[in-house]
Amino acid sequence: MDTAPLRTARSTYDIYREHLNTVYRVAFTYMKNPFDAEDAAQETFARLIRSGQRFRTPEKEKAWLIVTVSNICKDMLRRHYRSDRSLEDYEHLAAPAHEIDQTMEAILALPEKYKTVVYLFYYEGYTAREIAKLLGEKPNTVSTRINRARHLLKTMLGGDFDD
Amino acid sequence: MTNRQIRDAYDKINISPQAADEIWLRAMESAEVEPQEKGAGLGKHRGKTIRRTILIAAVISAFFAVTAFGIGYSIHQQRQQELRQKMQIDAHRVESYVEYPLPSEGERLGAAETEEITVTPLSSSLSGELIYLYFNVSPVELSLADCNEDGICCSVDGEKWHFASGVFPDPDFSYTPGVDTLRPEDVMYDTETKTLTMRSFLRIDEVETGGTAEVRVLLYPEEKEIGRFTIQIPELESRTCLFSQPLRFSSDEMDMTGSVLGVELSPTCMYFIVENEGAELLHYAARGLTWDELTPEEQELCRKSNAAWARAVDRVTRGTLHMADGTDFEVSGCNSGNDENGLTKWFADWPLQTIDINAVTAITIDGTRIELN
Repeated sequence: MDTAPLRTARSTYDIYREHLNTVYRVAFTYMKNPFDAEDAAQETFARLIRSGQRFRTPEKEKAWLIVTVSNICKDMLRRHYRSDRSLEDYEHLAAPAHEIDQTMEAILALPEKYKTVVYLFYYEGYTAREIAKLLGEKPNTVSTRINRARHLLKTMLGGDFDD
Repeated sequence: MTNRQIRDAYDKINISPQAADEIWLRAMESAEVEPQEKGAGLGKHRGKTIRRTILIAAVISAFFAVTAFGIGYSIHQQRQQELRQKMQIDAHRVESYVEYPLPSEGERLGAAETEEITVTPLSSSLSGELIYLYFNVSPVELSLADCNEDGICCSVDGEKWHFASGVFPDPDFSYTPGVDTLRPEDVMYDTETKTLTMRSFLRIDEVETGGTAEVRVLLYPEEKEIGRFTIQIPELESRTCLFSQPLRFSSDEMDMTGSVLGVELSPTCMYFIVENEGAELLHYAARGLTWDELTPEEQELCRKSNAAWARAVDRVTRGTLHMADGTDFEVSGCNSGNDENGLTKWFADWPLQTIDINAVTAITIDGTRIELN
């Protein structure tokens, strides 16, 4: 693949390959469709390239990407999308390349503020304190959000969701 | 297991190989074709910082020019003035916002001569389900505003503790601890006196409306009490506007309907009053039922309907408030909802901002503009 002659391009591409799915998954939970999720992922990596950001550890690298893509998605939703588009709006374009199961349906329906913490807590395995550091929140705020998100998921999934 | 369910759900979300290549190329193009963006991105942040600094400087300058003869104004008064102006308390005639005088030395726990940390209350702001507390803490390092191992907590009953954080005057300011570095101008921090202005909160059900409450302030991880102060809890002013015609909404995905009957406006928050006509089944807990008490058919319907209904409700519990002066105020979404007698009151608030509830003339929800009585 041809890469642009930016001095950070090579290392950025390594980061891209390693974390694209992470960035895409977070974006998908906000945007609820693959097309806008791809746009958000593209903008995230464009920002990474432009910034020339270097990270001390892979963990910080991933953290930066997750926080950045979350912020980009929130901006996109506020500025352009206003939450009135859903998967069904895109069915005429193409079928999603992945399966949306009941649990993902419920995650997609969560209010914005819970989505990143759900991903970080349940999927990435961060603790509430670590998430608080990543997001600039206090640990008990994060704990509250995790609890509320769990409650909402349980309500939405009923008997299919086990604590 | 919960974790496995969610992990499995995420594992199914993978980008296609073709899209993966395209995104990389588009990201590179996007980064390349806007070479000034690199500088612009930094400049944008710096510009915001400069504007914010100038704004704060202007507020402080104006304050001193108008009210001071050059001396004698403490950080306490300065911060109260800044918060008051920031939240437009006077312009929006907010009566539930309470300011507190500087306590005398004798009243403060942790006397200054011992060089211990002191806490002085600035103000409190009522917001429906929460009471926000603003107070100065001194002398402390700037890092206390960040999220680190240390922290300050507030409580009225000594059991439920709520963390405090630095006050970020710019609501759009965001940073990533560990990646970005917090600067004094990002928060309300006086470097000379090492005074940090912080915000915490109490829940309304922890106090008695119309009364007072004594707030205890603890420093973690030492769990050392560094201050106590008393706050007033006045009634929150509100304006209930029932729509002349309920705004009906439905889920396109499921055969369910609901109505937004009206809104309840307060300076710092609002409620959307929602009737769940076709979705009573989903609120089985409010009817005193448990999941196991539902029939298999009802459980199946719940499973299918919940996400769709949550999306529909999310759509109609955000909106734009239209003011008499032609300005708009965006309500970006609700935090929580309480079921009461078949109605759900969805709550949204906006800390560090207020509105003049009597100046709201209309609201646009889900693309429909509704004039308010």
